[in-house]
Amino acid sequence: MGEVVAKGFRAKVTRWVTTTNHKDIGTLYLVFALVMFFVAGLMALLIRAELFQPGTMFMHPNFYNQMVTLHGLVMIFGAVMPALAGFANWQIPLMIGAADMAFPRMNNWSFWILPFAFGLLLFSNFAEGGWPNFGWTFYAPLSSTYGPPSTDYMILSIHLMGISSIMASINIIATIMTMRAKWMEYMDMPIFVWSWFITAFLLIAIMPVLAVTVTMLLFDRHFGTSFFNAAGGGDPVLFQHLFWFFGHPEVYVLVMPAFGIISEVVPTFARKALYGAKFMIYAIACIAILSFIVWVHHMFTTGVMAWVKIFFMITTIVVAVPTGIKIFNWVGTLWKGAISFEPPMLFALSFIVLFTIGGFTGLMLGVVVADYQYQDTYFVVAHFHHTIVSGVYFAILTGVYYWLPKWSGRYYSFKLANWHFWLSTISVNLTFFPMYFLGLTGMPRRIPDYNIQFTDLNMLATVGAMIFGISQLIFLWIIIENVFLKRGKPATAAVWEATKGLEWTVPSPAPHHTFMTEPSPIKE
Amino acid sequence: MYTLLLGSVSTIFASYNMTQGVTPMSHRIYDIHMLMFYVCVIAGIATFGVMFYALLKHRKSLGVTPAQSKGHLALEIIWTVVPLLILLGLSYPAGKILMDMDEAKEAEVNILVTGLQWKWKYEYLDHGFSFYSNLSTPMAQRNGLEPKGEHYLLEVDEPVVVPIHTHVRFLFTSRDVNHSWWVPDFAVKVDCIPGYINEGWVYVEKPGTYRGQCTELCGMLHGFMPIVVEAKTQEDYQKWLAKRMDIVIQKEADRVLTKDEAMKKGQQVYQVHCQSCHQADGKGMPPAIPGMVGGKITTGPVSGHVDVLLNGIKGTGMQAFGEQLTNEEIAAVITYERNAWGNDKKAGELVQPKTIDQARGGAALAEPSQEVVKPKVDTSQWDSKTAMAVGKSVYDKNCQSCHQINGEGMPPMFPSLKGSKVVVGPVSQHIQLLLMGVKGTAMASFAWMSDEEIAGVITYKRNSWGNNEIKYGKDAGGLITPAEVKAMRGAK
Repeated sequence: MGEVVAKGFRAKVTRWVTTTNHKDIGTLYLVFALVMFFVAGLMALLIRAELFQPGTMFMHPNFYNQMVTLHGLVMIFGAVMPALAGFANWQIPLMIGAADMAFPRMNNWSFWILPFAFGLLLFSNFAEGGWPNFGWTFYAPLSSTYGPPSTDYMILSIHLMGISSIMASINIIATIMTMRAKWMEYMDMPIFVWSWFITAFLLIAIMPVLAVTVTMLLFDRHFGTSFFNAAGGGDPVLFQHLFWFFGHPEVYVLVMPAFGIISEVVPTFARKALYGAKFMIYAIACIAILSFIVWVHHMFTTGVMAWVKIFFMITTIVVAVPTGIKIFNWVGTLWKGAISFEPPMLFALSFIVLFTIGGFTGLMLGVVVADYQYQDTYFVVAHFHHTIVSGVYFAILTGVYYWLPKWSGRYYSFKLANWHFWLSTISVNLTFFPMYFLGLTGMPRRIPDYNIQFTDLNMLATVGAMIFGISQLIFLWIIIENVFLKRGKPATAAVWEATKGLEWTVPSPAPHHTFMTEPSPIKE
Repeated sequence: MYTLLLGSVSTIFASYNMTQGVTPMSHRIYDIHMLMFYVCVIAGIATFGVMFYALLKHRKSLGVTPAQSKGHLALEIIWTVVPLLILLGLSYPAGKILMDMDEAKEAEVNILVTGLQWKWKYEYLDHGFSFYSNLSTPMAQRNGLEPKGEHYLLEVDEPVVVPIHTHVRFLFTSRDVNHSWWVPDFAVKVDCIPGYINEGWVYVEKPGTYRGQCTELCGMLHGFMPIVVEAKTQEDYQKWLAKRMDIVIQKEADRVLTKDEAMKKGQQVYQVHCQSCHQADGKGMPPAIPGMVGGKITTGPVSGHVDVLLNGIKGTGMQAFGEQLTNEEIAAVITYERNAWGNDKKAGELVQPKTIDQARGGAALAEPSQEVVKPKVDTSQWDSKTAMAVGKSVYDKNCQSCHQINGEGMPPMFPSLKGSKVVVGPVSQHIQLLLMGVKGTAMASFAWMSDEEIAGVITYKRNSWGNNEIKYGKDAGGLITPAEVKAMRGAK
């Protein structure tokens, strides 16, 4: 008997390690993202616990900086990006009527690089001096001349993540361009596919810049160059230009697939077609282009020339126009619809409101002179997390609640999902709204201890963060119950009342192989 | 009653809002912040108003049938063009403030701010003195052993002092990693970047104490390098200045310390400069920060210990204290470290200031220059003697910290002026360089100086350190007149 189990176990491992099936790889990405989300989330909770009161609570300042660094790196590269890649893998072939991704073996590889990349990063604590401690932005010379030995592990880890992202992007582009059902024109593609199509190009453009930057950092650290070292004729500000040339489009890499998910979900539950669908696509393309010419707004205090600042201020606040188009069209979709409030819709609506608030504060941050007061304070932390947590993360939850019955073949408990929604929405605001006021009243970011005047708001934020953290366990349970314990009502092929699109024509759960023959167009 | 309520609401609101500050610029920045805020609030109410109306009235449970509309071209154009116009309109006042801010003014006080891990150095360029400003909150408050004071983590041992109703020019640079100097009440936040000199202007309207913090992650103790600025009336400022310049550092190398004196003083120095990393019990935080109890350095030869203190250890967090501390302070803290925590069993020496002086090679770097009196030169008669005198004083004040007293600079960051292309080349290019600065380098524009000062300093540079006509040909050397500088100002 034992032998049979062992054989079964080994077969299972082999299956998941060697799989080239887009659905399997999508699942791997999503599970990996879930694990990393809890790892990095725990770090965030440690940070918030330290900041509950002024004074050294339990954390050494250096450990605090390490937590700040890893929380950022792991959340962005380990949780959010793989989760979105998971959606791309599962959904794109299903939505365009393809049998699989264009390069199934490369697909396998782009996923399996990730556990090693994050292994390197997370185990770099064993190097002398511990984890990297200079923030996820790893500004030189703090990371070059002054960085701990683990910086080299981080550099290698970022290289691996970059390779993984580029391969995934190539795969997505090739799949979309060559594997669509023959009758499907570009403008017929579902908007989620469009959002990833543009995002993949963006990734291919920026990832090499990040790779170059970390390579230059490596050379400065070990091979005697002085790219970022002023004493050797180099330029510390060059680092920031390179980093943010990558870094700003990077946040749009996170947010555009999120836009895609929301644009799929809102029409379903408003029982209306997506309003201004063409303009929604133009808006994404427009944001993608603009994202390349706004990076200096992260550097308004570095002493760049006034006219340069004015240029980047204008480009930055103009990003609000295509973003506005998206929001107005979502509202237009809701208008005169027949709206119902299933869990994915609740998260999507919450996304629209909270992401817009994050967008508004982004607008405020873009205004150069006002930015002098906001830059590097908790105002920025609040803005960023409103767009990424109550924005992108909520969109990921929207997507999971929307497509999970298709993936697993079972409905989850709506009651639990509603609890998850209300606790998350309330606590996410309890966490991040006080941070705007902390920033406005003068609290810098990335400090482990603070003046007593900031106590009340920090306590609120910490309480909010703890509730938020704990409520995500509900989500974890919903997944475990639905996927692993296989409980729940069987789902229909359409799953929801008013779904449209090819993915809803296959049975639930979606069979291991779908669209082996090309599907015919859906009749309107 | 109503006004009272409104009043208290607005006070509460103000206490959670951006400060209006105490400079004309900070008021204008506050106004643009509020303008942006209201624009966002109105846009938010409009958008969410429509959205929530739809969520209430157009729900399936009310039995509505969904409309079939898929879009509306005119609407799309309206909600593209209208926000675009509003946003471009808003960028105008913001840009205007920025341009006003950027405008060079006649600086009456010049202060060079150097950020370093983890303290600030303030150098009064017009008076030739400088000091370090360290966090003064006791460790006991941070560890919760004592109650926290009102200015917990926002207090320093020596604040920087500025006069009110005066254009104060702050210059910002860094000696190690990036820092950022922020005082919310001045609406000044400028990055301190090694190899760069950035600029910020302050015109304070109200005397008082203003506090801020470093806002760029700069390593372990980033959260513990506060800024305190005292703005004083002209009269009080002059008094402070006179007192500050009267501090005569006695020839301390000759002092002999007793062990008790050294231990007491050493402990004080240790608490301010060493304890935050190496801890009160000297155990450090291995491996990043080595312990001192029975350490190789603290119980090894004295000369090695002195060397580490004076020159630091490259590539680690251990910085050079040679420039920051006096001989007496270094001697005392070394004595303390070699006697505390049981180190007296292995080491236990009493180190005297003389030892440190010798280790420095006899040149006491930390002793501030005594010659701070600005030479009064009559510039009505412009001859080479006057020009050289004016030039030397300007050079010492503005150029020397980078280009060095011997003109050799610190290549490649700060080029040598000895036989340099510009300094022995055509005069017009030299004047141009001073007026315009060199973009992208630390060489700032000195257009704010008077014609006499620029003519003087150029004459000085062209006739010092072996720069002259005989050696470098007819373009070199020469006496430059204020009139030539004036002409060049017109030419640009």
